[in-house]
Amino acid sequence: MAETAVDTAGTCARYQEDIPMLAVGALSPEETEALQKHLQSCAACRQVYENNRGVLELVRQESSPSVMLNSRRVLEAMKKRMAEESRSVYEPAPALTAKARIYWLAGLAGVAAAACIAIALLIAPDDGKHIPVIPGDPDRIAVGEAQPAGAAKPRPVFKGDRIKAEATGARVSYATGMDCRLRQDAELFCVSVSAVELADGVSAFYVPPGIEGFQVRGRESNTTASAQTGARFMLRVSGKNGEDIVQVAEGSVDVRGKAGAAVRVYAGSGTRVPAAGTPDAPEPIDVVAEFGWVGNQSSKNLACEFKASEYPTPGGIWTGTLALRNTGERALTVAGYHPLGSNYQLEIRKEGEKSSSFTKIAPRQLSKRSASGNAEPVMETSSEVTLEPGQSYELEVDLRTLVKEGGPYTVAAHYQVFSQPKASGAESKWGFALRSDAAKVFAPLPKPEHKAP
Amino acid sequence: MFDDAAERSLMKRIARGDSAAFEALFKTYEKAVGNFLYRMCYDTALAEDCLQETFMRLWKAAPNWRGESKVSTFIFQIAKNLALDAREKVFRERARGGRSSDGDDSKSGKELAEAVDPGEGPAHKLEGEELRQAVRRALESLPEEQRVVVHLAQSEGLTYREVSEILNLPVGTVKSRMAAAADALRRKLQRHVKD
Repeated sequence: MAETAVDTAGTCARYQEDIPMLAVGALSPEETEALQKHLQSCAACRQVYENNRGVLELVRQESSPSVMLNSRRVLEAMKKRMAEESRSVYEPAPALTAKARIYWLAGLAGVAAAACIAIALLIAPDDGKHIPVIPGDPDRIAVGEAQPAGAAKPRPVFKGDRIKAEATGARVSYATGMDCRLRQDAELFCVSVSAVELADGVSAFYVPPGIEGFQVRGRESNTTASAQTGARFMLRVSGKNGEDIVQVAEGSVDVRGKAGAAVRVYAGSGTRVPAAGTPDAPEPIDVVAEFGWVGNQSSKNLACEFKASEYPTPGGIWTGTLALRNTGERALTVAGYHPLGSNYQLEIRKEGEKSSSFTKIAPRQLSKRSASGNAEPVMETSSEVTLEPGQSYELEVDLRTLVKEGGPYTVAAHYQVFSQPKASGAESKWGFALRSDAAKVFAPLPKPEHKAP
Repeated sequence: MFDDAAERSLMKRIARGDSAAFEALFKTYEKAVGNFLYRMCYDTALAEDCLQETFMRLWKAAPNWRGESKVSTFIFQIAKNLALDAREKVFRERARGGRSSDGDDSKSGKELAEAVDPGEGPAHKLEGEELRQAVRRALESLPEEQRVVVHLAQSEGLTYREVSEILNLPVGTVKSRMAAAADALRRKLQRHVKD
């Protein structure tokens, strides 16, 4: 095969990115074949491959175990544990007193009653005072219920209980309306109806309007996050360098380190608390990226909807529309840096791939649609807009700019808004990230380039 | 390559408490996951503990597993998290002056990275255990984010796309971390590569 003389259109750069992956055997068979074909015809890339191959082979050989792991022993130990352990993600608090242990037995008998009460709470109007109590034990107060991701039924959670999210994440819903999401491997202790301790991992919390004094503490680090009512925030405790992180998507949170100093963190920002225990000055965060794992959110009666035509029209027009709709009964003022212009992102994922790319939306057209369905074009953006009940703002997006190759895609829209305090000491009103439901679209194969004969 | 369709069916059986399916899945992965864990810890006993814990977590999580990812990425995700936690615990214990692990290796983790690197001196070929230690030192000197990518990418049966799923990172980031790691390893180890 003839050697390639010139690297056209960055072909070699693209292949060279894949060379270390080829050297460790991490390319798919198709990609391996394509790269090997290229290597046969390109001396420069072959040289890069040779440079990588020797070292990475050495690394693979010399970092392998000198003695094979005893998998039989591992399997036997697991069988023993499987026989002993249940599948529960919920464990009662380990430090019960002798008296409490007796009450615990009584509590077990009352679990069914507590579950009924919890269900009743879901139906009854929530005034924040319906806290189920296990008869006979004032310490056994059900603060809410926990549900591992994908589990059909929640379980009651009591003061002092440990919730370990295992591999799938979990959700703890407090009777007060407080919502807590545990990311994979997070470990949390329910201290009381208004306090939790995070022993490990990442958890996100939502404190509904009217609930005050909620506090989350790092179990080892003693970092404390005291949430203002209406706050949505996240705490990450980490053994790495002993550094904790608090990030706020909505409202504000006072963060205090073990050294005693405190900072107030507003929506759209976060702070790090190093091992020394003095929080850093808050810095802006990307709310969508940081809180995306929490899932669909809706807040302040503002819905985020995304619709897309499944295929481009024969004329090549292919649009998606992002709408922000006031679903409440009162007029709603959307505040932000540029609420109609720059706080939107589209998340696009090719079918079969897990990772998504995020693209800032450049709207083709902007319009305001009334509850009766009439749409008027909007020519200007401002930092504050008012939506009457049922009204929506719509952004039309050209989907052709988002895809590079043909095939099925899943597209969802994100919208983030947060208002920074306008003056020193002023409260941030609100801020949050919304994600729409995903739409499925199908991009046609790009037309082949015509080559001159 | 792992057979995701067959493994999904095993996961369904495991969710119903089928221990034979569990054993079959364990046997499919014991070598790949075991090697990955060993490379992350350099301690046979610790790697065995992590291997056991990985599959115990899988057993517990199976009833709630929604099948959004491949079975292989799910297993490696658990293993990766456990390995990082185990390393951290070992470092913390050592920082507190605790005794070193009872593993088969005299040095591991940061101790290796902090050891004097003979490779920085005049070029000479290393053999046997000395070469092994030099490779480990070079790996341990990489930032953790790069080292994890290297160890996952060289795990049998995983492609870089699966590595990106396991680490929840864009494919481009995985590739650039791998390229940076390969550059650093080449600088440190090129002289030891046999011609």
